[in-house]
Formats: sequence, structure tokens, C-alpha cells
Amino acid sequence: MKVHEYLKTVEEQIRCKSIWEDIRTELLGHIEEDTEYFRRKGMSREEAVERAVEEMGDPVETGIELDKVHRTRLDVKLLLFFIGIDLLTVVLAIAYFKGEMPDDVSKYMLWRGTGLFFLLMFSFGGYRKEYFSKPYQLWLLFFIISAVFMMISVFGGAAVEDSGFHLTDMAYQTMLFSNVAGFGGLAFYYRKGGYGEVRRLLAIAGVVCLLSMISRQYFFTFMVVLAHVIILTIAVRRGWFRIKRREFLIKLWSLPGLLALFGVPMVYRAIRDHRIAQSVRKYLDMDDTPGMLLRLFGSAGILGIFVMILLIIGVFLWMLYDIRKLTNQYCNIICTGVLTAFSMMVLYSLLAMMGFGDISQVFFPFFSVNRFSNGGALYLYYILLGTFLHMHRHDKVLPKAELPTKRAA
Amino acid sequence: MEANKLDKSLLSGSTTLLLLQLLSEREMYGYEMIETLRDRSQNVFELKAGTLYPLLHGLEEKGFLEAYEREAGGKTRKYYRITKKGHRHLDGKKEEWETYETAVRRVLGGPAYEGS
Repeated sequence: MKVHEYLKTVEEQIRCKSIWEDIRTELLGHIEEDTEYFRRKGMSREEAVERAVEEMGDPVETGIELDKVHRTRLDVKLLLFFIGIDLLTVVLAIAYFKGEMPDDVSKYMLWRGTGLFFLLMFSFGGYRKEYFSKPYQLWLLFFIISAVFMMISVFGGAAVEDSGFHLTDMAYQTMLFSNVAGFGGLAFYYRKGGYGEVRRLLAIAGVVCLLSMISRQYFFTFMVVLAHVIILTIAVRRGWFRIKRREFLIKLWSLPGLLALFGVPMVYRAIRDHRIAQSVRKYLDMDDTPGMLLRLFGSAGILGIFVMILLIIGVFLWMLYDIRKLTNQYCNIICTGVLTAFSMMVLYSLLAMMGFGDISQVFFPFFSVNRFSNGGALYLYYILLGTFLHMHRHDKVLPKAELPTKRAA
Repeated sequence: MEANKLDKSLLSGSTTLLLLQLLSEREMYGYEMIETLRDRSQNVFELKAGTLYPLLHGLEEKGFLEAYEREAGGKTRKYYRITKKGHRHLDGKKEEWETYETAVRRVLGGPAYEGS
């Protein structure tokens, strides 16, 4: 049997194509070593190669065994858990409106359904390395998604007090947060670079932060800045760039530090004017999960709110624990980006609840019954969850060296 | 005894133990593991590459091993090293093996072994 025939037969048994190249390189290396060994024993080149291939064993058996190891497995328990949490909020909405569903609630159910479709689509989707092999494709994807969600916000969103812009709608805000996961992917691509690559990443983050300023909501922009700084810090601390880490991180964190200082008088004024309590009461009057629980179950609803808060904290802690187990750095940073995006949504929602943002755009992942944005915010939430499951599924099978660095490209 | 005359099932149950033991001593690439195993066992353990690589990939998937590429002599080879989890697994496997070995010896040696 010829070498290429042996390798082809092995590959044909393995369903996960993204691992083919890695396996081919390893097996070919082994055949070459064995060929040299037989050459030293006095065999001709042809004889040595033939013997080396023979020594490898049955290619079909080898391929089948490798296929068993490299099969992508969707974490069904995790998927069912996410869907289960979702069903809880749907059941709550049905119980709250008692069948007399206003038009937007029926739409809401439709959005949930479409969202679940997105979740499954992103979870099961095949991995395509070419999507990520050139950063301009990521850029293009980012701008297309931005444009789509801007349009959703303009035509479907509610105007925000004081700003007059429709663009501040939750769908667009969520989109900017979810960009953090993509930013992690770009950081991975530019790893092994120096200050030039880091400046490029800062420029990308800068554009996103500028886009966030269109909302004219100070705390929202602050969250977007913070999310990007967190991802870049993780990348730098992992030693991905040839830079003076400590010096760079001090400079990097000086920006959110400075912004936080500006925020202190705003928080002080809000406390002095008792705006926080008023704002929280206003939020509880809304048809979101806490308000619905209180109106459905009275004082027992407080316990329900408490349980749901514990549930969110539990899910977040579990996600953090799970991310630490991911061995593939690419999957790891993308999932970290997803968790950061969810965390920023929670932080922003808490601030909005306290009167530092638009109260109608509060959206707690795994918790809120969001009925804004024509489902846009929900779709992004599901896409992020789907991305998390997808990366989780591919962590063990994605070859470590598959995604090229800028240098290799 | 010739390797091909040895019952293969005797080897298959202990291959993981042998590989982890080799890698606990130093980092190695696939071909090197087969050679070392053959030399140390005086040609008793002749592991095929087709058996070795699925096993190595499986151990990596379970987190017992880590793989990385290293260039040596103009060739890029995929090296494997044992992880902390792998060390713990190896200790467990060694204990299992010792229990098994003692039990087999006791049966084969009969009452004489029991007393020794």
C-alpha cells in the first residue's frame, strides 16, 4: 500500500474533517521515521516505505479508533439546562397573562422559538476554519451584524428619553456587548504579535466604544470599554504578545479607572436625590420577571426572585468553572468573551435599574422576559449561548495549531 | 518469548499504564515511545502505530496528556507530556496492576507462594 493510500483510508474513517491535517502530519512523520530505520537496515527506498506503511497496521481500524476519539459531542445536558431555564420564563409569562395574551406577548413566544432555532443552529453548526482565517472576514461579519441590528433598533426599538435616538435599543447594545467574544477571537489571531498588533486591537476596541457612544449613555459606554479591557488583559496575561506586560496593563486599566472616577459624582448625586429607590420601584412595576413574580405570588414572589438571582449566580459561576477546563485557547477566549458579554449585560441592567440607564432596556440573561427590540436582544442572547455550546463541543477536537497567527498567514 | 507469540490481550489491558509510565520519565513523540517500549521489554512489546496514536489522542482528550510541537533536527515532531491528572491516573493504574500481579502469582504459585 502506498503512503497516500494509507493516509486517505485512515482519514475516510474520521468524520471530523478539521482534525485530518493534524493526524496526517503525525502519521506521515511516523512513516518517515520508520522508513529511515529500514533504510539503515539496508532496504531500498521503495521497500523501506512499503515496510513502514505495513508496520503502521490496519488503516481502517486505526481510522475507526481515531474517529471514536475525535467525534464532536454536543453537551446535551448543558443544552437541556439552558432550554429548561428558558421554559421557566415562558411558563411564567403564560401564567402571568393567563391566556389573555397581548399581541406583543404572542410575538414574544415567536421570538423565543426563533431564538431557540438560532441556539440550535449555532450549537450544531460545523466548524469552518476559513471563516476565521482572515481578520477582515471577522470585521465584515461584525459590520454586517451591526448594520442589521441598527436597522432592527431604528425600526423596531423604542425611543429613549433624553437622547431621542432609537439606536440605544437593547438589540444594538447587546450586539456591542456580544462583539467582545469576536474581539477575543481577533486577539487570538494577533497573538505572537508585538505592539503593532496590540495597537490594532486597541483601534478595533476604540471603534466599538465610539459606536456605543451614540446611545449617549455614559454607563453603557463604560461597560463596553470595560468588557474590551478585560478580554485584552486576559490575552496579555497569557503572554500572547511580545510586549512589556505590566507597563501595558497599567496604561490599559488607567482608562476604565479614570472613567470610573467620573462616574462617582453621578452615583453620589443619584443617592442624594433618592433616584435609585424610585428607579427600582419603576422597574418592579414593569412586566419583567421580578415584577411578574411579585404580582403573581405576592410576598412569596420575593423568594422566587431570590431563587432566580441565586440561579443566575450559579450559572455564571458554573460557566466560569467550565471555561477553565477548556484546553483549546481559541475556544477558551471565545467562551470567556461570551461570559464577559453576559456579565456586562447584568451589570448594565443593574445600573439601569438604579437609574443610570434606560430602565426599559434591562435584560438579565437567563432571567429577563425581554419584549423589546423585535426579539433582537433575545436572538443575540441565544446566538451567544449557541456559540458557547459550539466552542464547548469543539474544544477537544480543534487542532491547537489550526488557526493561523498573523505571522503564519 | 517472541512478541507475536504473546497473547495480545495481555498487552492491550496494560498499554495505557506502560505509556503513562514512559511519559512520566520524560516527554516523547510517538515513534520514540514504540522504540523505547520495544527496547525495554526486549522485543516483547511491539506496539503498532495504528494502536498507539488513537490511544495517545484518547489520553489527551481525557486530560492525562498534553501535546505540543517541537522542532528537532529539521523535523517538527508532536511531543506528548503527562499532566498532573495523568500522574494521578498512573498511580491508580500501578496499584491496580500490583494487585492483579500479586493475585496472578498467588494462583500460579499455589500454596507455596502463599506461604512465602
